[in-house]
Amino acid sequence: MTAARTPRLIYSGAFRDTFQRLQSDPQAVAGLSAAMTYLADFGRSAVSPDVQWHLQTSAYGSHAGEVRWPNPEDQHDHPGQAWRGLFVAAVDTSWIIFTVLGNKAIGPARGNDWYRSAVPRSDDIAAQAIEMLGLTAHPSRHE
Amino acid sequence: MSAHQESATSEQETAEADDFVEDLVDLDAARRSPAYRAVLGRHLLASLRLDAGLTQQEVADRRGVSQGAVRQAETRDIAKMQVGLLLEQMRAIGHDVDVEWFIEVLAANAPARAAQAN
Repeated sequence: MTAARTPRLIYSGAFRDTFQRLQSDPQAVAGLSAAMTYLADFGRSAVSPDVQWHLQTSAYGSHAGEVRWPNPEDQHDHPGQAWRGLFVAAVDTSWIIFTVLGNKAIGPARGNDWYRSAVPRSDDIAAQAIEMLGLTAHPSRHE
Repeated sequence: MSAHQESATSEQETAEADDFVEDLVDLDAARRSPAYRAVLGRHLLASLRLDAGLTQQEVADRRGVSQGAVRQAETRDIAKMQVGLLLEQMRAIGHDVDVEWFIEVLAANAPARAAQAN
């Protein structure tokens, strides 16, 4: 039921910093950790709404996606919370880079505005990671 | 600014200066968490349907409900679903489980539940 092997998980400094500042909210940390672990375990077979593959506006398209907390089922219990962790994965999902983490419900850029700035930033971070870390099986970037 | 007020656009880090780590989340600990179990609970129905090669509409037709009802059921943690709805959905997918199966599962887990309560 799970992936044959756990992919190499890589986190950007920006993702790490936001995740560590989120430690004051144990539910959010647990939820996002569970979603990231689920993604690592199931890869492209992940069908729970906690993970969404294919960020249409990403240059990496179907190889990009997001982890979510809270999930739609529990959204009403967490008003003002809509955390999104963007990622880009290898073609064979041998690695996954978590690039940007943010709350799209609060702040100067919300909803689609959040994606308009976060997705290009995520793409840039992923490209940098691929180059810096010498990652293979990387997807093509379409501009 | 609290963590809740963070957004990607408010951060100052740039891609040029980024660094990368690989040990942020303890996967084993996460797998033992109630949150992970709930994610799996939201995974099961859609996964079984896809394994059976069925679309949401096909399952909806078998149940006599809308495709939206099937989609909604698939996004719910099965632990929070009414047993009747879960049975109906699973039967429409082709898994012939019945109430006796649930009773067996409950009975099998009863000692563990009792120990947790104590």
